[in-house]
Amino acid sequence: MKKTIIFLTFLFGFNSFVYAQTNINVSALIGNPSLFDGNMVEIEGELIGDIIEGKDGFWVNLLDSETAIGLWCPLKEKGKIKFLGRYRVKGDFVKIKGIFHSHCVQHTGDMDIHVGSIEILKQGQKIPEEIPVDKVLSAIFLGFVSLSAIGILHLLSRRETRSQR
Amino acid sequence: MIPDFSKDDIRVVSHYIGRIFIAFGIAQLIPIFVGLINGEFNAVIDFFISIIACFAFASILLYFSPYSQEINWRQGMIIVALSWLLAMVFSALPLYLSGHYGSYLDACFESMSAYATTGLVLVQDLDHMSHAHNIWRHLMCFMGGQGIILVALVFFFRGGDALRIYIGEAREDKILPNSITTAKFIWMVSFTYLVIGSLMLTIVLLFHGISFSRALFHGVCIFMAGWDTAGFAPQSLNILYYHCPVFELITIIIILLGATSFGVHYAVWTGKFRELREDFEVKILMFTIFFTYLVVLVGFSGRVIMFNDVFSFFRITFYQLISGHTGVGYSNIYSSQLAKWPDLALFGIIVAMGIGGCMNSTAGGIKVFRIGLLYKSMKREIRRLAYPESSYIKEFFHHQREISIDDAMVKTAMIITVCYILLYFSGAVVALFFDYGFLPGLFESVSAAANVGLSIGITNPSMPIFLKIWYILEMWAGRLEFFAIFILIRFFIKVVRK
Repeated sequence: MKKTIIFLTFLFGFNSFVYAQTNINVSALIGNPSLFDGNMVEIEGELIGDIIEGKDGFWVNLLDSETAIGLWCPLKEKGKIKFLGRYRVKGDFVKIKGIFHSHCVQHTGDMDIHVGSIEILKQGQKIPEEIPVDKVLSAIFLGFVSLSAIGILHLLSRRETRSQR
Repeated sequence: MIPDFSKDDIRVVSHYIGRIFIAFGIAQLIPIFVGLINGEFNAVIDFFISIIACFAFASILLYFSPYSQEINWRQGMIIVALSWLLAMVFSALPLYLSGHYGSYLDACFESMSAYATTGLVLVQDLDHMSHAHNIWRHLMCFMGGQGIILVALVFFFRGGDALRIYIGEAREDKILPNSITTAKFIWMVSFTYLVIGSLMLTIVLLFHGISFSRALFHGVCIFMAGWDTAGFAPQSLNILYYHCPVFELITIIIILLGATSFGVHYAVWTGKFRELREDFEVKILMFTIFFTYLVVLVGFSGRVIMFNDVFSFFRITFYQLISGHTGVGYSNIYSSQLAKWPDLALFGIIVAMGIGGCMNSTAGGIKVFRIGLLYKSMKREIRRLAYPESSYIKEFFHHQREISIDDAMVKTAMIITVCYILLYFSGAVVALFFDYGFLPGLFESVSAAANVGLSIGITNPSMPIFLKIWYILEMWAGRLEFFAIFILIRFFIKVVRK
């Protein structure tokens, strides 16, 4: 009996590892957390922000169509990450596999994914700053017009003050 | 004969708004500086355009009304109400130019949310926003929390004028005999805490391996929005981004300090520590935190299991409660998670948000002072009925000094409380027209009007335009506590009639 229970537990546990829920986006996870709680999930997205180091692992946040989620990763995965999404930086686009927790006990209730592995699908890159010419021209034009107007108004007000005297 | 509005009013209002806009222009040099340090030249151009717009607008106003005159109460109120509205429009310009907003209205919503220290956001792709634009979002919170006119007050106004502006920005306590010295004290306290608070947050982040420049940027942003109970954060995940209970604990200390009256700060700064124990407002704040948290706990009875352990339950529920009560709006959960809370727990948060923080602090809402005052007044009435008719009943409370309750004080508190409650429900009714349901609608409306910023998911870039405009009005009215706005509306009606 005991052996049967161990076998069944192993079978179901193993099953959940082998058949990770694929094609899930972060919004779906957040929208129905109880549905995926404790399950192995596989999601894709851009790594953003900063690496936040913790005890025996590190945090990094993954952005998938306007919604982000925290990933708790093993230290060995840190070396794979080259770019984190920020202003003018496109972060590494990754596929991760891990266990989703709606209220993680290890992390005092955070909704997170404990990542087993990170696969870099597309390495991120720095995006060179392109300054739109029309923006520069309009800034110069506005600056010129405004400064002229300020100067004219200033002269007019001085003239008025003199004539009042 | 009651004096009516005259052209003089328009001249005086134009003149002072012109002066205030020079201060706005100067304030935008800070994001320019941040942009230059980080090599964000696109952002620098955005702020350059915005500064030009501010200075040009100020010049036009000052040309048509070059002379300063002493301002009266009515003019002071109009200056405040109108400046806030114009500040929203002009401050939205660099935000809109950043390309992170779906429309100019969305950018206006964000700037009003920042100035009113609400914290509801319509920004898109925040995680890729420039440092310059992000620091501007948080700087607006910092200026708005102290009172945006208070910035200009220190530099541009005379004593008598300053008082009228000061009161117009919903500040009633004069901590020091003079409004300008009070304004200077408020800024001194805020800057001192800015240095200490930002440093503490920065150190925590450094311990988590974040680089110094990034840690400092996050520390400063989180402090500015936390101290001013605004609730903005530089990342879309808000406080959840940091995954750090210690960081959250420091934010709780910062927001409690922000929600405490500057009068109490002054007492503590001058060595009167017993004020912390004796001040009537602090006592009421502690009681309402306890009471509303009790409501949240009862709301969750039998459902704590959904958090897996008691510590997680306490961390999450207490953080939302403190965040809502003080009006900061920081959150360590997603809005969709909050939406799934039991109705009674949500109601507890709504009550906490509605009450708000202390008077003369950076917090919004009805304010615990008024709740306490109404409670004391009710107690006095009951005693009056119970005692012989010839008895003279007096009720006192300690707020920096012993104060006796009088009818005028109670009347003002009652009028403002009723206005807040009507405003809260108006937003809920408007949300009903868009099929959001009463409780979610009430939650979001109270969050906007009490300048909190917690969201149950209604506030997003695709929400109806009318609701966006309604929430802007709620944030504006809630922050200025109605009177300045009523006088502005009356002023416009008179101008149109003439």
